[in-house]
Amino acid sequence: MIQVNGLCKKFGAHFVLRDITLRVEKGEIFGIVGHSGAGKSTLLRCLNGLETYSGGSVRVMGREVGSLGQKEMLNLRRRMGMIFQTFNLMERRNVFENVAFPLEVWRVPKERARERVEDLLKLVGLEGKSSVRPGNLSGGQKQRVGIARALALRPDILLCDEPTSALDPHTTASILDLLQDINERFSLTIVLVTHQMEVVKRMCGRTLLLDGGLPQGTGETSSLFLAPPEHLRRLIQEEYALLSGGVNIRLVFGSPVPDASPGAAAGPLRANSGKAPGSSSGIISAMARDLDLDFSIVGGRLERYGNDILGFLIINVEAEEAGSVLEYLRVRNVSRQIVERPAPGGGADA
Amino acid sequence: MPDFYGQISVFLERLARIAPELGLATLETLYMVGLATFFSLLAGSALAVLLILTGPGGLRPMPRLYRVLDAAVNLGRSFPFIILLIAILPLTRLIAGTTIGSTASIVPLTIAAVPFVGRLMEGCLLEVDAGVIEAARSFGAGNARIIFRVLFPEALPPIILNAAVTAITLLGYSAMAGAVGGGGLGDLAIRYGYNRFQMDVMAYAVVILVVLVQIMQSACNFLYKKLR
Repeated sequence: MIQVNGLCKKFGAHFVLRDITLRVEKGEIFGIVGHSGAGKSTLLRCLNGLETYSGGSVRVMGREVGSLGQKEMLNLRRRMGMIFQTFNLMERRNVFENVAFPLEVWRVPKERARERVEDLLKLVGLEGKSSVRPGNLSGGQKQRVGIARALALRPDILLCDEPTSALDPHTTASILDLLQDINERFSLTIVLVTHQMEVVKRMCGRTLLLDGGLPQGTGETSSLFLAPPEHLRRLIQEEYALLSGGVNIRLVFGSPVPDASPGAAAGPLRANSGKAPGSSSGIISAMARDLDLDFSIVGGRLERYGNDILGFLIINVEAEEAGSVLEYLRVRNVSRQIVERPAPGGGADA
Repeated sequence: MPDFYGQISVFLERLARIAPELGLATLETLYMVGLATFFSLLAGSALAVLLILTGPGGLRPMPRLYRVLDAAVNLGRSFPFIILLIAILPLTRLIAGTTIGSTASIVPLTIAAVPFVGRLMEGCLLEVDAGVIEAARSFGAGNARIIFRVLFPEALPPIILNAAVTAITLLGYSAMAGAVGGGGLGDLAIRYGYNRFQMDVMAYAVVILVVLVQIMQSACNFLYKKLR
């Protein structure tokens, strides 16, 4: 659906985006995550031509976005819906008229447009709100209007620019559920930009991490977050107050790190399999018994990644015992990783 | 006592004598101000569209054209109306066929108001949330659609308020146009009050002007609240 190669964007001599390469397949939810100012919204706008780019290639549905003429550009945008952090609804039009606006722009006959809008309002759960002005809606309801409007022209791709950043956690969850539902029902391709790591973990199969306009890593969301490469740890807010002595080892439950053999015991744990992730972490107490060693637990977490619940645990062992612990885990095919303490001054403020 | 009734009857007699002229002058004023407001809103809107299209961050930035337009607007606004009125007499004759009378004075009134209205409207249109414009672009709306279906409808309430500002400003200008033969209430007030020392006539004209301003402002405020 979308193929970006070596994309660059400059303002003067300053790179806003540099060397971005990504590929989004039909029907997937692809995440772009990074802190404010990382260039993620700019990247998203390069996909539908709201921003121009200075180098590289952006192909959407087989067409190079940068070389489209005026008319072709409008036609491409017709096939790409977009929703926004600030909803961007027209204050003087009511809910119905807001959702109908794209249909108006593309001269869809009134009667057909009316049916379409009614269907959409039902889809997003806003029946009966037709004649309400956006000013009288809650944030979540406004975003639902935004989603209905973005879907009005039956797009193939939905671009989401921080869709939940202005919403409370509960509303965020309901909007994400709606997006997921739409994604599955219409096999709509979604590109989701956010600074909220938990949103990406929950929604996106694959993710691109962006910092300062540079791609920092890309791949399966679960492996990116559960076993992040050293340089990404600060970026994805995975910082623990690591103990100064001994060796810190991260055990990953349910996600293979690059060297884990396929089909290992550490396969993904289905959330509904009835098997608690704890049974996998039973390996810890078994190891303590078998090796007759003591260790401290530094931290750990279980999280939902799409439909899977995955997690990790960081333990701290004496330096001389690290070798045998790693060997023990290797034999039992548990994904593991040594966590380096950040260099002094490198600033772990967690 | 009889003296009091006598005063009242003198007062009413004079009022009755001047009433037809007051009525005519009021109509002339409404005619001049109404048409000049209408034309200047039209032309001023067109100018405002050009300004926001070509301006920085506009839908079609053209920095050079914008700078020229911007300077022209400032120039137009810096002319004192009475000077402009005289300076464009040949143009007035060309358009209206004459330089005397209410119809002729619509020309300088409109020309004086266009840069003013252009600036006011530019401000209104710039107030429309950039995100809303971006949303319209994101589903493939062209510039014309964005201007007529998004910008003007969304900016309508402040535009109404600025129409009142324009009409009231033109009401003030129309008195000056009256002074050079344009007719209207201002003309009446000057001719009778200033030249013939009939202070009561001047007072009536001023009272009518005050009432007109109140009506225009209240009507626009009402519309503004209704449309918001």
